[in-house]
Amino acid sequence: MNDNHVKLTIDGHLLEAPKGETIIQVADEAGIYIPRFCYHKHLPIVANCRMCLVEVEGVGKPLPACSTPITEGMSVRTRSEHATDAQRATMEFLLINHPLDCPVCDQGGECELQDLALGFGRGVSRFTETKRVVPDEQIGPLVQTSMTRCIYCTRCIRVLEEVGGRREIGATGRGEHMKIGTYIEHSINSELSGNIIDVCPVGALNSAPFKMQARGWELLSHVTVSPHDCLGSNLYGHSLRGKLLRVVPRENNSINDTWISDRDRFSYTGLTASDRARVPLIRRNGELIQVEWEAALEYAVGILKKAGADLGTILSPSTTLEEMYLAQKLIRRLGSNNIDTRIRQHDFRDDVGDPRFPSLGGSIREVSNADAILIIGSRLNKEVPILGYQVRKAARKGSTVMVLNPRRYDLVLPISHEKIVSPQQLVNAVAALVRALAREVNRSLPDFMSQFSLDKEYEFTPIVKRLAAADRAYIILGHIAVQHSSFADLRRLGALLAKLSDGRFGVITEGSNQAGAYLAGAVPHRGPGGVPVMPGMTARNMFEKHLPGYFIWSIEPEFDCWDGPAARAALDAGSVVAAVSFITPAMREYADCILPVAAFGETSGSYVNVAGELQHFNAAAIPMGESRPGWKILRALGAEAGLVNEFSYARLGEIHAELMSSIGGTPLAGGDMEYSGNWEVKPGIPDNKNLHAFIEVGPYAGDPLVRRAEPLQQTEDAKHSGYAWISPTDARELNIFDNQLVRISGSGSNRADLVAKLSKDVTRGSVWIPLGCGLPMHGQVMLSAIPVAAEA
Amino acid sequence: MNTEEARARLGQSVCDEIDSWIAKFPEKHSRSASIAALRAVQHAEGGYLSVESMDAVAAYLDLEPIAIYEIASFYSMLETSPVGRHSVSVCTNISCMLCGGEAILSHIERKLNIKVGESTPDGRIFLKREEECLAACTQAPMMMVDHVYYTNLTTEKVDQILDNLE
Ligand code: SF4
Ligand code: FES
Ligand code: FES
Repeated sequence: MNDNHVKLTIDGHLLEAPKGETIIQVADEAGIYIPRFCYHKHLPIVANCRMCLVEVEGVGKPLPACSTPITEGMSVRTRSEHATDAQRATMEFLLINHPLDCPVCDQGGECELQDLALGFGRGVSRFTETKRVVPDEQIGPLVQTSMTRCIYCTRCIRVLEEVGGRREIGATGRGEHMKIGTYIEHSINSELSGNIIDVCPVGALNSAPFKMQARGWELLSHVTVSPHDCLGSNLYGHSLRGKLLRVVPRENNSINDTWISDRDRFSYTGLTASDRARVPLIRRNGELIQVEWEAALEYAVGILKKAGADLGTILSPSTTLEEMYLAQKLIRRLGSNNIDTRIRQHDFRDDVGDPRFPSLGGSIREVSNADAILIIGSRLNKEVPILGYQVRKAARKGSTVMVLNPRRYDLVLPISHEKIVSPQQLVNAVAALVRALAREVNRSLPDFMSQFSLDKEYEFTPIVKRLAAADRAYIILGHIAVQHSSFADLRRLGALLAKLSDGRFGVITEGSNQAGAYLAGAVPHRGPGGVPVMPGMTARNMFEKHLPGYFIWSIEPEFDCWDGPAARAALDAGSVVAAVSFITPAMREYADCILPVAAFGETSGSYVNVAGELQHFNAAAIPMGESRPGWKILRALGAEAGLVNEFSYARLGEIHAELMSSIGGTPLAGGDMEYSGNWEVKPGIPDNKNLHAFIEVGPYAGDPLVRRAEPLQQTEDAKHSGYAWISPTDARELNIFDNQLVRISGSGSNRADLVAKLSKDVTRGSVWIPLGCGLPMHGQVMLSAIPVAAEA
Repeated sequence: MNTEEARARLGQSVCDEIDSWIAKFPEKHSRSASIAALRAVQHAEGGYLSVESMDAVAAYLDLEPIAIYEIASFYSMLETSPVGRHSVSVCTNISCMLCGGEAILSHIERKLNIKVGESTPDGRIFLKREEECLAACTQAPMMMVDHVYYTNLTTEKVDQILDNLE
């Protein structure tokens, strides 16, 4: 027998388990059910509900199985009279104050209290006194509270603390007056707040958008995957009569454990937005008119063929692998190799040095096991909430978390060292860090390092010391870095940092399938299988060039592309086929043909996440109106273009198989961040006296679906993104006050009128503005107050 | 609120007292000083803890505000809303109940024209929530006024005690 194991019996079954485990863990493993409310396998044990009482031989009183560690020779009885008496008594106490409102409670049918009351409760209550009533609290647009139903298991408190990283709610008062809540009524701001709905064993915390929509047992459950970030959290889509009504987590212990972000949970509410594309439209005599699919396909192919080699194809990075593959196959056959999914990237100098696909450079587990993590250019918790949780897990295990950011963000992480430099200085600051680290570990630097400016001194000693000493360092580049005008340099420097600290390096890509885009051949320099091909134009080039024809797929360039105004101008000038699920007002002006594409949850397919994991998912709902799954549209376009044989797929699986034959088997090899290319270092953004504007992609602004998810738009996070954030020093010099309306003018006629907010978290010389406000992601701007009289 | 703002809000002498408590616990366990800190603040700020003062304590001890709200709302010696200057609590637990504790309590309610949990409008007396057994059963009925026990109560005795309060 293994030294670290003990033998015990539970209900007569002889079991062996590692020392230190508790009875409930061993029983769960062996499939022996012990009732519980407060215990949750991913949360700290508190043993406060007493539902799990069991009999342990030789101990006079019943013991809580969730917190009693196993010992050698222990004999546990979970169903003996002694045990069940205790369980029944607990149940009776719990039901004393619990309301009998199951018929109007959304938890009905999937309520742990209801289930256990059936198994352990009495048919009749002996309690005749009045039950207590607890007033509800407004805790935001996502979670509906009915606090009278609460049984004080404190799971919700622990989820927010352990998973969300901050104690946002607690148990105030004492005894009968105890109450779960925020005490001072305010909304819960964690990007993982929806998880309290899942863990609440009763109907005290329920989904607000799902309120009174359906009963759990009416819903059909479908396997799906998050379309919003590069981790690909595993989800179930619950639908009723073909409509997606709810999204809940699907356990995957290598990605999201049992948690999901609010974005993944509530984005489905955007599916029914009033601007959903429901029918095919084509432009005739200047007007968009509704036509049959046949006519629309013919019209679309006409535009694509006419543009031929000069066609520009830009896909959302959350397009499925199969759709990406078909799109590139179609346009390459039509003679174009201008295809890209990297819509918010601006610096493509290092394409030649790209790895097989951009990735985290390791598994998600490796991130949570790292002993030193340096985050560069990222609002991690809002960009990829579950990765934020994984880093939090690492921190809890003792990892040092460090940050180098162009603006101070509250990452809800225990940050050991934080360095904030202006976005203009970011590249030189990382270069200075590389130099300092090389000195510390006594290694030489590659030649290109001499091209970085040495003008400014930075103090990096604690970060350098920690990286040098770490056994498993991890350098992570976030979305702000990817969107930076000198991303290529940041990436090269980041990789170098990882090399010097003998650690790993990863990039958090945008969308849910950026890695897949490389493997499907949907980027200009890669063909199917990720093999290098003669490069076509990047997303940036395509818009800068003004091509005669564009094929855009599930993007809204005014919001989703690096230079929104430039994209708009290019689209206005060319012929545009837009395959989209939603139609923006701008699209009605520039699109010549609109093909309605099935949205999230309405199509099957697969994604490759940032750790190189290939994941399949199924449609959970019926495409709305006449919209069709993307792969079927592409198949029809192929046939219409005369490529009948090459696009004769009967099933989605055939497309997948064809692509996989060029990719090779799983797990997907690649993603190491070694660069072979050699390119000039670019100053990026000049660090001069001028003011520069930077777009902040808010957590609920990044893609067409979340932008339409009303409950998410009502959160504090969404509101926070809607302003022009400026440092108090700059504001003073410009004579700008908090909450004042200001005009931000960029080059040409680009400008945005926004409400200014002053914040010390913003560095001097920069102003942070929201997505879609009419300016590119970065650019020099002028800022002036709009006189009150002129407002009207 | 950051530590500096918290320090300004709490005042130097309160901060000194909190510091002396923090020093008694191992490093990084400043949370253990919560109760002592709240007691010091309550004493310095007119007998109760405002939300703002609790937030300041939380910031000073580097805790989430809710952790302080939980403590302040749990312990009966900490008040979270303004109360009268003198705190009166009458025991109505079993021994006192058998010896007329409840009659004493209703006498006080009638005399002061307030209910349990309320303060007199002149801010003189706070009739605190019913106390549970204060371990003076042998001299029941009893009450506690500003942390001092008064035992073997009669209504006359109670009148005298209350009338003497400033
Ligand atoms: S609200 Fe739900 S999860 Fe939170 S303590 Fe009450 S019963 Fe438990
Ligand atoms: S599950 Fe063990 S005490 Fe709650
Ligand atoms: S019952 Fe009142 S002091 Fe014990």
